[in-house]
Amino acid sequence: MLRRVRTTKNLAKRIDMEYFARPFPMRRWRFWLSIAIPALGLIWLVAHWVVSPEPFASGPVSPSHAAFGQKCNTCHTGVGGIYFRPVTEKACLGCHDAPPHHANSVLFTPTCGSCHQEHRSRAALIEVRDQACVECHASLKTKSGTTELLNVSAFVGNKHPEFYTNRGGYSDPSKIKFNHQVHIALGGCDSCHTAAGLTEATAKDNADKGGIATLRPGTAVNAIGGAYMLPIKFADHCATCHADKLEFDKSILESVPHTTPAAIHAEIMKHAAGKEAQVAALELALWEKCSFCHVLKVTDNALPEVAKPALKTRWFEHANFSHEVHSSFTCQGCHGAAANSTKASDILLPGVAKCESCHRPKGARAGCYECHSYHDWSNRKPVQTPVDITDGVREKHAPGGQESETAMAAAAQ
Amino acid sequence: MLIDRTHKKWFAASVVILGLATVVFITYALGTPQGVSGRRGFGLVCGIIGFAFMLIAGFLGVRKRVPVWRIGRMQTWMRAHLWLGFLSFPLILFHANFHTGGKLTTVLVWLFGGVFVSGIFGAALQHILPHFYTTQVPMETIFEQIGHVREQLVAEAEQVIEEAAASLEGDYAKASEHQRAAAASAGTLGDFSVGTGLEADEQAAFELRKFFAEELKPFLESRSSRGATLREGAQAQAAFRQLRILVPSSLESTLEDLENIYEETRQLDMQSRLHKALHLWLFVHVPLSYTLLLLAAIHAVVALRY
Repeated sequence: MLRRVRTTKNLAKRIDMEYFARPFPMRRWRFWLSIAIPALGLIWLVAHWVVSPEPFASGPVSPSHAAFGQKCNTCHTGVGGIYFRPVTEKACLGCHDAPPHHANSVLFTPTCGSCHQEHRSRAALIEVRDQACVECHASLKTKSGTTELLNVSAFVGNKHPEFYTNRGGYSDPSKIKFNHQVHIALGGCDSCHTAAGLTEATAKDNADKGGIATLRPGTAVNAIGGAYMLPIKFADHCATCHADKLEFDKSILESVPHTTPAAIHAEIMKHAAGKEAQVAALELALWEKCSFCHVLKVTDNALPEVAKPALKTRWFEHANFSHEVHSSFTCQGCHGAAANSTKASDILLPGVAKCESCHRPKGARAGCYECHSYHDWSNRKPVQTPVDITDGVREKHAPGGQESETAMAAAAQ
Repeated sequence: MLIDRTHKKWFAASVVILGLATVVFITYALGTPQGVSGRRGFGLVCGIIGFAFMLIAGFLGVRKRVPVWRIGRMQTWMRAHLWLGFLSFPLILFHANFHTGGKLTTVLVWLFGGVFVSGIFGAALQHILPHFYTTQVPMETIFEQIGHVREQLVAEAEQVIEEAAASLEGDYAKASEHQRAAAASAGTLGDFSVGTGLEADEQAAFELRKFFAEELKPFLESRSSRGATLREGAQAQAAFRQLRILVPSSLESTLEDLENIYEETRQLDMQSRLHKALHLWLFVHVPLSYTLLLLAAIHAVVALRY
């Protein structure tokens, strides 16, 4: 039988009544850690603080402004405290030209910093949040009170209006008769439509492999930086397959260069002068041949007036697009209707929904700035930056650029 | 502290505050070009309230050190520590707009993350382990006294062994009262004469001493019980079973005492481990909390004053 008995009295006797007065290792360690770690934190802060006020910055400087290093007062020129001087518009505009956004229409112009947020991780400054745009464009109001623009509150979820070309009632204004179906079946899309990147060498290579050389030697390429298709021209594109001369009755007039109706008619008259019946037949043939591709107008002088072709290379003047960026996709993927189009007036541009199939949450980026520009860069002016970083000394220079030139000369030496 | 029904009001208030703050944050984040900024408006309010909550939560440490202060019950302070400490984290994240910001604020966010996670971990442990205590460690004592009590248990075990061995070797003077009484009655216990037991069973006494010296004592003396052969329960049971075969059955009560001492020591070991597990998180939580409060105070002063 167990003889040990655990009574309260027995248990109490075992306890050293002074135990709480003595330091216990766990408590002691906790106490010293509670002093040491805050002290280390303070030392770290002070060590950084004496070198620069960087620990108090609200985030890392964006890569665009990395050259300024720790010269905070390059931008923070406003009136404020020691560490939180605001950035002034003057500081931004001193280096950057920022043409205003529809200056005659908008009700207010936001500050640079309200859209371009600095000290926000490594994100590029141009990645403006959609809210900055939809703040106005969700319910657009202008000085005049009217606007042609439709409201937009986001890109996805039917919050962006359909492109104007696809809203219905719009037709291709090219004034050219063209059958995409026939031509695509013969040579594909890229036999005519070429974005930047296609060189003469690749065109020749394409021809050598039995394809169609889409560019004639000497044709300028990369003219539009890969964003938009090169303009379609008779000499560069159509004449690759179609003879560049108009053929008539061989017994009178074998062929005439592709030029104006008046010039062609003059050629006809030169060869068939006095032969009225033949002249009439040739004139009729002239109408037929021109009207095969062109829209003609009847005029008083019996010669057709050819409506000037207006083939668009850029459909949306206020939006940016790059075919080069999208070159990994097939043409049909976006312009699916082209393969069955028999009229040039058909609208073959994809709608918003097609873009949205990739540009959506968890997909490709769908911010406003991806396609649209806020600043009217057509009014861009050169700016002489007052900041010199050529010799690694980040100093602000006096207006006039004399010091800048001196510094650059010193750096060059 | 257990989070039970008595926390109902704190819980409800926390849910309301958090829900309200979340709704306002989302409205701000979606409706303004810059989102929430810690320097102005809602972001600044979140920062001030969050820091106030942090200070109140941190004040628990001071309150514990001066228990005689008449500034509210300790339980209330503990509840405030739990709930306001919990609330302060999302409020500070709203204040920071979920950005880490510059060097100091990045350090603050990581520190706060450490404090928050260790706090949640500690609160969870305090829900689980105390129940384990009551079921697995009924012989618990004051944690700080475990070493002191174990020393007494070693001495007690040594005394029990010495008395039993002495009685087996016939040393009447060293025998316990119980054994002397048994001898005086000259009765028999089973097929074994207790009286003769007092005279001679040197082999059993040797085995008993050997068991104590080689197995039981190292276990009782070892602070962590590491290396001791008796640290495994099954191994200990087998050892005591073997001992019962070697010593006369008259010493059954002695063996039971030894086994009881062993069990108490084993439980004290477990208590020690549980206590460390229950309090080790404080080694992270407390120092990080003080560091956080110190650096956050500097951040607040610099941001608001300069």
